[in-house]
Amino acid sequence: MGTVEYIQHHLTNNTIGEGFWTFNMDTIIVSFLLGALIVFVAARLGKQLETGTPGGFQNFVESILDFVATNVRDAFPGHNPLIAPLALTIFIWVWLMNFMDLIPVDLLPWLFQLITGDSHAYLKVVPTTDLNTTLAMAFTVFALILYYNIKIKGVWGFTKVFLFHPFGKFFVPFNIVMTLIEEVSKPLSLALRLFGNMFAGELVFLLIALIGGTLAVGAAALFWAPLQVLLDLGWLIFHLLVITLQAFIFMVLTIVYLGMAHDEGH
Amino acid sequence: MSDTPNSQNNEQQNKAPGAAANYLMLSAGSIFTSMLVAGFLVGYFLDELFDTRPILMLACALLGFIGGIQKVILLTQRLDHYQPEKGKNDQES
Amino acid sequence: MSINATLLIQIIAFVLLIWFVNKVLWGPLSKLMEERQKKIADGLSAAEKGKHELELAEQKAKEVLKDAKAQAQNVLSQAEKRGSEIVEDAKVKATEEADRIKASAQAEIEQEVSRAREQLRKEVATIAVSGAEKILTKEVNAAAHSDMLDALVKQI
Repeated sequence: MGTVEYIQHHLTNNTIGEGFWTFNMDTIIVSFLLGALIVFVAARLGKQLETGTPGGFQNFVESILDFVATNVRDAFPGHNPLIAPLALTIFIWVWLMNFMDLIPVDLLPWLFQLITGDSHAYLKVVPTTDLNTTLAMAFTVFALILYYNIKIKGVWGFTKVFLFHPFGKFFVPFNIVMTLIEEVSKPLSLALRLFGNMFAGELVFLLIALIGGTLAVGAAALFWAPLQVLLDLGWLIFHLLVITLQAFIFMVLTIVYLGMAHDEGH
Repeated sequence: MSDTPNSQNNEQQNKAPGAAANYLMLSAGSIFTSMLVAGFLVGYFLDELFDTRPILMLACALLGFIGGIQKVILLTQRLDHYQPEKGKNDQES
Repeated sequence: MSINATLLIQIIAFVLLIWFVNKVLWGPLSKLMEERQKKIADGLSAAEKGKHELELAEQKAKEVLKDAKAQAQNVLSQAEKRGSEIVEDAKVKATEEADRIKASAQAEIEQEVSRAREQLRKEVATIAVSGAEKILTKEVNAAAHSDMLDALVKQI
């Protein structure tokens, strides 16, 4: 298997369907499983909640909750009971999906191929390297942004933002286009950043895997294999930071954008 | 233009920016990029609407470029402006 | 890489997950944390209140003590004053009494003196009469010559 094929193989989704009605089964299943994991753990945790001195895991979850709540308080003006759970969901879910990136790139596809018996079965395990996932979240957030913009500012207030916003009332056409661009850039920046970072990270993992995998043959493997391990470990540690940061930025930007939607000031 | 994420929080709500908002600096690059891309996208749809390809697309991309630069400048200005206040907050907490 | 129907599925998944997280994780846990926070805050405020009350009580006790001291001082000084007053009074009274006694004694003495003088005069008169009687050797009627004798007495 050549280098290009190897990478392409890893970056192709396992799909069902044709054209628009294609379903990326790996993305869907992995993200659903991770979502189910959150709900399952949360439900189990919910059964043994203690008011007094919480145990280890509850402490950990509470610290995450506290962290999210602090960020919401900092960046969100006013009060909306939906924002905090939304931010929490984004943070945990995105982090978990990003975390799939840290699992050795060949492990899950290999297992999958073993189980299905098809040595060419596609499997792309990181849902956030699929633009569909990041765009789905971005669009949902965008829908909420529009909803709250209209709900808080009213239709006329929102229209006024479009008409007079960046350059004052003498450049109405420019303002409309500019505000349009700004609004469109919100979901784009959410989705593209996460996708880009995760995709690039996955690519680097694949390239590192290639060092020991396909480039080295025979005795040369003795030299390449330790280098691969070293590089992989380094990138893994760095990427652990990146996935956390990406999940965090997605969350903070969501809070900030929704805060802007709630702000009647302009 | 009080549109940058946190200038509004600070100036209009008189609220501390919070450490979290400072992480938005990390996204300055992607905000610029997405403004540009959004400009292209909006221009593309407007072109489809008025059948004026590629004039509006280029115009909107230019607007997106300008807007992106403006946003990044505002974002970095915030950094200069709110640094001391942030330090004070840290001492308080 | 292309955008397809997965997008729709993921949107649904995302919305569902938000709902679940809100219901299962955020709701109960944040309520729990809020309760705990409230409990701690209550405890703290109660402690604060207790401290405050203690302070108040201490202050009150101090005030009461101060009051009592002042009162005692007051009573003491009053008693002293009263005592000295009584002494003064007694002194004045005693002086008055003494004066009175002295005056009455003086008056008695004077009376006594005048009475003695009277008696003396009378005796002198009698002596004079008897003297004159003896001198004149002539029976003089005391009664008849009383006028003259009286005049004599007055002259003495």
